[in-house]
Amino acid sequence: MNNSPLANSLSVSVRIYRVLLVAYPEKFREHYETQMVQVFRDSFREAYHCNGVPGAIDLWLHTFADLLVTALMERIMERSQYMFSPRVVLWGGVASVFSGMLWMMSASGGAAGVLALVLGLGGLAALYSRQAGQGGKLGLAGFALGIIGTVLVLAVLWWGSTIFSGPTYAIIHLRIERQPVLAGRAVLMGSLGLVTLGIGLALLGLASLRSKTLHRWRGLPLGLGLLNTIQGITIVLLAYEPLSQGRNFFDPWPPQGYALIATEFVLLGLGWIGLGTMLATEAEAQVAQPPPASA
Amino acid sequence: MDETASNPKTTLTPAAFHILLVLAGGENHGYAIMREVAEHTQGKMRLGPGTLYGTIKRMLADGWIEELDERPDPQLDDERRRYYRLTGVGRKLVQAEAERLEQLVDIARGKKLLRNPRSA
Repeated sequence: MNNSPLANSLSVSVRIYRVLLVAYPEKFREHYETQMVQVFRDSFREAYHCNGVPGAIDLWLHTFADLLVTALMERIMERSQYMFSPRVVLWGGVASVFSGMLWMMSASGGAAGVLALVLGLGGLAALYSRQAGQGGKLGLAGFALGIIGTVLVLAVLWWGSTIFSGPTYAIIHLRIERQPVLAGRAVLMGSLGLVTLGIGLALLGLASLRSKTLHRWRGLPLGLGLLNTIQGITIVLLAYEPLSQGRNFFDPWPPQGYALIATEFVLLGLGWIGLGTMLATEAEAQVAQPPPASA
Repeated sequence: MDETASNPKTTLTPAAFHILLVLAGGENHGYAIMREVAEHTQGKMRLGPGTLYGTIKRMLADGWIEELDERPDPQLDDERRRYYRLTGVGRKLVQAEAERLEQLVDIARGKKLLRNPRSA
C-alpha cells in the first residue's frame, strides 16, 4: 500500500474499526468480523474517493452509531438465548419451591422473608424463561416489574433493619414506637414493593395464559400475583394506618389481623411451591414455537 | 416452511425487506447489497455493517436466504467475500410483503394522496 492520504487514513480507520468490533459477542465476530471489516474498507474507500475527508467523517459517524446500536442488540439477543433455556426453568423452579417454604416460615418473622424474596427471583426468571420469548412485551414488563418490586422490598427490609432492628421483639417495638412515622414510611414502601411484585407476577401470568406456554395449572402465576398484591394492601391497612397516626401497630395487635397475615403467608408459600413444582417438572417440555419473524 | 411467508405475524424490518429485494435480483455479496439498497432508496437508507450482517445472520437462521458455497466468478472477486441468495421461503416472503405494500399504495392512490398516478 502506498503512503497517499487515502492509504494512511484507510489503514488507521480499519485498524480502529477492527478494535471497536470487540463490542459484538464473540460468536458474532467469529462469523462476520472479516466481512464487516471488508465492507467498512470498501465503504471508506468510496466515501473518501467521492467526498474526501468530510465523506470519511460522515461514514465514521454513521458506522459508529450503527455499531453502538447493533452491538447492544446482538449482546441482548445472545443473553436472551441463555435466558430461555430448560436449565433456567428447572433451577428457577427449584428456587421457587424453597422460596415457598421460606415464605411459610416467614409468617413468624426473621430472616426467612429476605431469603424467600431472593429465591423468588429465581421463580420469576423461570416463569419468564418458560415463555421462551412468546410472552411478548407483557411478559417482559411483568418480569421487570417483578424484579423491581422484589428489589424494593429487599431495600426497605435492609433500611428498616438498620433503624428498627433489635435483639428482642420488645426492643423492636420500642424503636418503632419512638419513630412511628418513619416506620410507617418503611411499611408503605415495602407494601408498594409487594404490590409491584404482585402486579409483575400477574402480568407474567397473563402472558403465560395468552401464549399457552404452561401445560398445567395455567392460572397459578396470575393467582399468585393477585395474592401478593392483596398481601401488600393488607399490610398497608393493618400497619400503615396506625403508624401514620403515631400508634404502634403491634399494640394492640388485632388477633384477626395476625390470622389474616399468617394465612396470606401460608397461601403465598403454597403458591410459590406450586409454581416451582410446575416449572421444574415441565422444564424440558416443548413450547410450541411460532414461525420465525422480524429479521 | 411456507407458513412463514403466509403467517400474518411474520413481519419484515425495513433492512430485511430491502436486502431481500436486492437478492430477488440475484445472488450478491455484503458490500454490493449495501450499495444497491442505498441506490434503491436514493441514499435514504444506509445500512451500516452491523445492521447488514446482523440482519443477514437472522435471515440465514430463519432460512430466508442462504450462503453460496462458491463465488460466482472467483477470478474477478476477492476470495474473502461471501455471497448470499434468496431461498424459496425468502422469495415468497418478499413477494408477500411487496403485495402488501402495493395494496397500501392502492389505498393511498384511491384517497388521492399520490401526486403521480400510475399509468395503467
